[in-house]
Amino acid sequence: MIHNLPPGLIMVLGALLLPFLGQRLSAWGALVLSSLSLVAFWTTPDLHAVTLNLFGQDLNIVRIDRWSWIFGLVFHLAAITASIYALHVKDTKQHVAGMIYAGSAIAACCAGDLITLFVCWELTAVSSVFLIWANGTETAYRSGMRYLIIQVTSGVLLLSGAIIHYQQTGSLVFENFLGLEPGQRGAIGDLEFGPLLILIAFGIKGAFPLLHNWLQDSYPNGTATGTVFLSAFTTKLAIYSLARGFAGLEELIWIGCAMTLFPIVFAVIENDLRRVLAYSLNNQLGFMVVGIGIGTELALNGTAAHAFCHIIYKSLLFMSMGAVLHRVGTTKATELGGLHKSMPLTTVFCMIGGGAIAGFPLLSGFVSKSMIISAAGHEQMFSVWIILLIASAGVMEHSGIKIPFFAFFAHDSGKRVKEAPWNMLTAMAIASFCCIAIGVYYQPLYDMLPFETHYEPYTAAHVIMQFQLLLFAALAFVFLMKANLYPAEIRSTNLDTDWVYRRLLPRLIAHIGKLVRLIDSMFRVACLAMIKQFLNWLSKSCSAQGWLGSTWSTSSMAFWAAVLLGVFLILYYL
Amino acid sequence: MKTEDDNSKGDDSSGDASWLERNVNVVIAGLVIACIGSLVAQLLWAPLFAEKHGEASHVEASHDDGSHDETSHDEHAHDEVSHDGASHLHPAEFAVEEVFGFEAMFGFAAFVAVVFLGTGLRLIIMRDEDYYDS
Repeated sequence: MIHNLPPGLIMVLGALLLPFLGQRLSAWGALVLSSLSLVAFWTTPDLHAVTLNLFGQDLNIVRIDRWSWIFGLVFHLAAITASIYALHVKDTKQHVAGMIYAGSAIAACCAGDLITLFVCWELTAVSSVFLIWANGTETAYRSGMRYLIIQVTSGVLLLSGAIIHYQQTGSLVFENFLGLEPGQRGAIGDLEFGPLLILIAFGIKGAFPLLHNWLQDSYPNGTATGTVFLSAFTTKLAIYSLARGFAGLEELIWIGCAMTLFPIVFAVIENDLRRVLAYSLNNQLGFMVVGIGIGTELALNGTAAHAFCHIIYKSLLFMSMGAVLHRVGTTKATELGGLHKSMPLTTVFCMIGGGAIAGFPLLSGFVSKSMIISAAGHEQMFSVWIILLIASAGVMEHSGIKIPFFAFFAHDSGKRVKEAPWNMLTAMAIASFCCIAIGVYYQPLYDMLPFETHYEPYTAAHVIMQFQLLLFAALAFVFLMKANLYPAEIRSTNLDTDWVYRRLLPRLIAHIGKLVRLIDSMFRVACLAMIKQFLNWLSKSCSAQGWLGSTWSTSSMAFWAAVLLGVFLILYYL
Repeated sequence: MKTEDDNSKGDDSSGDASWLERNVNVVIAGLVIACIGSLVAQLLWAPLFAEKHGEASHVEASHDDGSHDETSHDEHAHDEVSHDGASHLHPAEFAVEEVFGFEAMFGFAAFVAVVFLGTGLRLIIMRDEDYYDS
């Protein structure tokens, strides 16, 4: 019975009961809900599908295959660790929002049709914004508003695309829009208008270049615990959807390449370490998008595996920065440093997360990222392969070194705080354990992947090459620091595409408003002047001396009467 | 593995400097040794880097005795590739991978390039911290 309901529904509906538990218990309630949901999901039979007839339309509300399974599972794991991480939070509405958000993301990746997907898609948007607003500041409120507008726009595009697609094909089934099998590739030109809109919707949520900036804008403004939730679901739901709907779309390779590159440059100069992590997240999504674009079984396996590992180590990194935020009150690099003395365990966990994302052998990033890079190699895509190597060195820079170094080492800020609370440490320990466990014993992960694989990440050549890349990148860091060439952290705002809608558009609108006001006032002045002139003329004419007001002679009256009669006579004969 | 994360500057004068802060040079030395180690490892394992296009590492055993049956290896490799779209192996896909220390140089150069690009980008996009609030 429970298996006929969309997975995650337990969390969505259960969340509505959390307020009745009171402030203290609602956190535990959230943990129980996510665990129960995992048990229900775990016992769901393979290849499970449920169809519901609504308004004469068959909706495939549950479809669990290998793609849904791996994403559903990791979403559950992320929800559970994030719930443990948030156990100390007494703000019930954050727990409610977190559960609805996670639950709807899980339901979305198990949706078999576009309408169910749309409903869950919008639910993730509307629920998650409360995790940003919960911060309570004016900045967070505005940032959350921008986030909501962009996310809802993505949903509207998805719905429009789905309707057009339905009109064209008569089908709402969510499957590859190009009809491609793994290993085949298609171009964007082959897409109809409906799927194109859907691609843009996925692109917004997946933070494609130029559509990305909601991510770096909003995530650093979430609460310490809320951002851990945020980092796991929205973007990976987009990755899942892209893999499901657009695997093998060639343009995605280049979109993905751009995504891996530009964030690493922005991350170098960003001062807010949670924003550095948001750029880093964007860069990691790039790897996955490249994998989807390549579209071979190996590449798609790599994408799924990378999403799985990424959710865990990215949560871990956001958790470590959340712990810093919780204790110190800021994640600005200029205010931090030397925290390894007072937060040693958080330091170790952060470094494990940093090592995992950088792809050190024996940690989870290595066994997943290498699949995507190898897939590019197998397809003989040299430039893609080179770009992914550059991006790997870039990951080492911003997440492997910059995050741990500036938060926990570097200049001692003199701040001596308490170690993170026990529940945060427990959540980080679980995530760290997963990072190491997957890195060492990767077979269970590989067995879960969408396609069967015999990929072997630990070959001598591969391990040595990876070590060379990462160790020499670290050496470059030491060299730049010693030579004083590494850019100092500066309190600053770095412009990104959000400048367009936060500065350019408002200014443009202000200028247009000014122009309209100017034209309007000129027009008014001119009209008033004309009316005034007319009135002047009228009053002058009607005055005692004016030509209308003055007394006229009898002869002129007789003359005009004669003229009038004459005109009348002529008109009569015509 | 993450010795490079520990390169704190060690200019702490507050008196409660940690072991890491007092021994930055040890950490850096460790990193340099690890770097050299990774290059030496490549020399030792050089034969693996020379393998091309899907040569199986798990057939290495048969490789060692000197019997070199190229055709059967190739067939095997092709079979693997077509079978699961992957292989068990890490093949050298591009000739450049066989260049000694390629990844080392590449890692170093890419890192420096990214940092310099970032520094340059500051000139264009950096504003006051309260830029959007003003």
